[in-house]
Amino acid sequence: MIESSTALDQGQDTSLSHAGLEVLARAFVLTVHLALSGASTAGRAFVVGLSNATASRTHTEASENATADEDRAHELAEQLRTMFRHWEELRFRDGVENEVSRSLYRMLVLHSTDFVDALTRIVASENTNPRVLAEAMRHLGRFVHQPTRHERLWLLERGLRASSPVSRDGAALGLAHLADKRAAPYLEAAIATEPVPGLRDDLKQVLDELLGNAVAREARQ
Amino acid sequence: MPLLVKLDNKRMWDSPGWLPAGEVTADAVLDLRVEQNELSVWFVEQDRSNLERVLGALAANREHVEKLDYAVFDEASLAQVGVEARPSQGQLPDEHANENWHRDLVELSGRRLVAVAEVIASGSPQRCSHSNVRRILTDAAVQGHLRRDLVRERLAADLPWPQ
Repeated sequence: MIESSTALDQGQDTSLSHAGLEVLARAFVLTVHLALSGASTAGRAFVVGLSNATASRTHTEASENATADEDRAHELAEQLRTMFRHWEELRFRDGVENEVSRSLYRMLVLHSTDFVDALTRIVASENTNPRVLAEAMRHLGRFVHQPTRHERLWLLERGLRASSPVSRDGAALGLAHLADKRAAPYLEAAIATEPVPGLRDDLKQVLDELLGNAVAREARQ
Repeated sequence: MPLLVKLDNKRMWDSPGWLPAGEVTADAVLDLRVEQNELSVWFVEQDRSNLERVLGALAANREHVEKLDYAVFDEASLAQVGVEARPSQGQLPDEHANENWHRDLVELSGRRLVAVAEVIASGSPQRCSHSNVRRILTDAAVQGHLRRDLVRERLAADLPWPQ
C-alpha cells in the first residue's frame, strides 16, 4: 500500500524530531490496522495527512489520492441519496429481502469501505427519510462482509445518535445483527439519553442480547 | 380472549407528545397490513401457552431470522367497536396454527380500522428480539411444528430439522 511504504520510508529520516517519530509510529500502526481491516477513505486521508506533515516529497501524490478518494465518496453518497429518495415509496417487511437490501449489498461488495464512508455521510447529514435510513442500517448490520466490519460497526454506533427515533431503532437493530460487544458502551450511552420509553426498552433488549451473545460465543471458544 | 397481530414496525406505535390520550398516530394505522378490508390476527390462549408457537409460525414465513414486532389485545374490545373476528384458514408454515388459531377481522371501514388500531395500541406493542426469534424458530423446527417444504429455502437451510 502506498501509505504503508511512505510511512516506513519516513521512519529512516534521522532529522525527524522525537514527537514526529511518535506520530509516525502511530501512523504505521494505524496503516497496518487499516490494511488488515480494510482501509476507509477517512482512514487513508488521516494517514496521508500524517505523511504530508513529515514528507513534502509525496505531498502532490498524496493530495491527488485524497482528492480522488473524496470525489469517489462524494459521488457514491450522491448516488445513494438518489436511491434513498426512490426507496421512500417502498414498504418494508421484516425478514424479507427487498430492493434496499439487494442494492446495498451489491454496492458494499463493489465499493467496500468507500460505500460505508458514503453511507456514513448520509447518516451524518440527517436529511434522509428516517424509515429508509433505518432499513439501510438494519441490513448493514446483517451483511456478512468482514473487510468492512469495523466501519459498519462505527456507522451503526453513529446511527444511535440520529435525531429520528426510527433511525436510532434501525441502528440498534443493525447492531443486534452485527453482534459485536464493542458496541455495548455506545448502547449504554444511548439508553441513558433515549427520550422515547418504548425505544429505550428496545435498546436495552439489544444490549442484553448482544452481551448474551458475546458470552455465549466466548463460552464456545 | 386475547388476539395477536403482527406489526411491521413497533416504532410507528410510539406516542409522540402531541398525541391525545387514547389515540394512535396515522403511521400506526398505516402499519397494519389490511387486505380486502380484512386484517389477519391470531388467537392466543388466555395463559399464553401457544404464544411462542404463533410467533414461530409468523417468523417462519420469512427469508431470514429477524426481530418480530406484535401486539396482543383483548377480543372483547373489538366487539365494542363493532368489529368481528372470524375464524379462517391461515397461510403460515405451521398447519396446526393455520387450522386452529387464525382469525380475520372482517368488514373493516376506515373508521373501524382506526378504532382497531386504538384497541391494538392499548395492548402495548411488543418486540420479540432477533435472538429470541432464532430460539423460537429452532424449537419449532426441532419439535416438528413447521413444514419444511413451506419454509423458504434460505431460512430452512438456517434451521435444524429432525432427521
